[in-house]
Amino acid sequence: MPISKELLEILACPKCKGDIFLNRRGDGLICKACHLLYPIKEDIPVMLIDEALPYQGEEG
Amino acid sequence: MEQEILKARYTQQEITRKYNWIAPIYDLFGVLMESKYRQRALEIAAIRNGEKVLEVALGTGLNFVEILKRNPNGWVDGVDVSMKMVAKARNKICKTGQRNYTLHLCDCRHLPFEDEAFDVVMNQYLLDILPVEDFIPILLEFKRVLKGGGRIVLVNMTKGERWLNQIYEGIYRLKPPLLAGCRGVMAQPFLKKIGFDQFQREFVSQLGFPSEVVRGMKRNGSG
Repeated sequence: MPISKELLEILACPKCKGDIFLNRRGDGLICKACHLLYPIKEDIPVMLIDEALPYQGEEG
Repeated sequence: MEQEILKARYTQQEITRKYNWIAPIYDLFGVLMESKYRQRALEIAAIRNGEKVLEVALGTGLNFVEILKRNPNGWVDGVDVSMKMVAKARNKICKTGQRNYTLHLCDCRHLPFEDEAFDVVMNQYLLDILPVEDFIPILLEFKRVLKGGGRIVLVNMTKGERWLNQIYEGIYRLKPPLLAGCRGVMAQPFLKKIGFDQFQREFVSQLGFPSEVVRGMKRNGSG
């Protein structure tokens, strides 16, 4: 199931609690403040700080 | 109250590993030992259609599908730390045909939601596996995402009131894996400490397995 508008309204970065947004490919959620990308695996957002990838800023 | 709670035996990593391992057979345990509490928790939560509900540690989704049934026009989020549990839950939830939900993988200490996002936060059998020192930080995180006036409903293995119930505490002392690392806890004193009120607590026993269902309310403007 794709990430819905309702979810994005209440979803926050688990680390800083700031806004996050879907990346262009739709396979990750980006927190610009923490420079982290939370991957979406099999339609499930993996919102684990330890498993987040560094975000380089080339997307969004 | 805290000193009566036995020491937790598993680390966070061990918990994730064990619950990934028991995911395929978890429903058997869930139906045999937990169905009565699940039903009572849903009644006490009194979810109104249209509300935003979060279930923390949704496991294989046994409770989640019941929340969805009661809330066809609302929104339900479910989180768990085990990918295998979430995958199993998703298979079950897909069969409801409802689309007003999302599942996430996350650590309950760091919920990926904005402040005051939910009307109801439900959680079953989580505190009873975690160290006592984690209770307050986790409950504060639950409180953060709950709206003022929102309800928290917790179910945990608790201290037994009869000898049959106390057998389970004995099993935990001897062989914690037989109870998936759960031991008796009491959540209400911790909820009270962080400002919840209007409590309702019930003790329920199923096959002698002692659980408590606790509901508290977050005061408006209490952070």
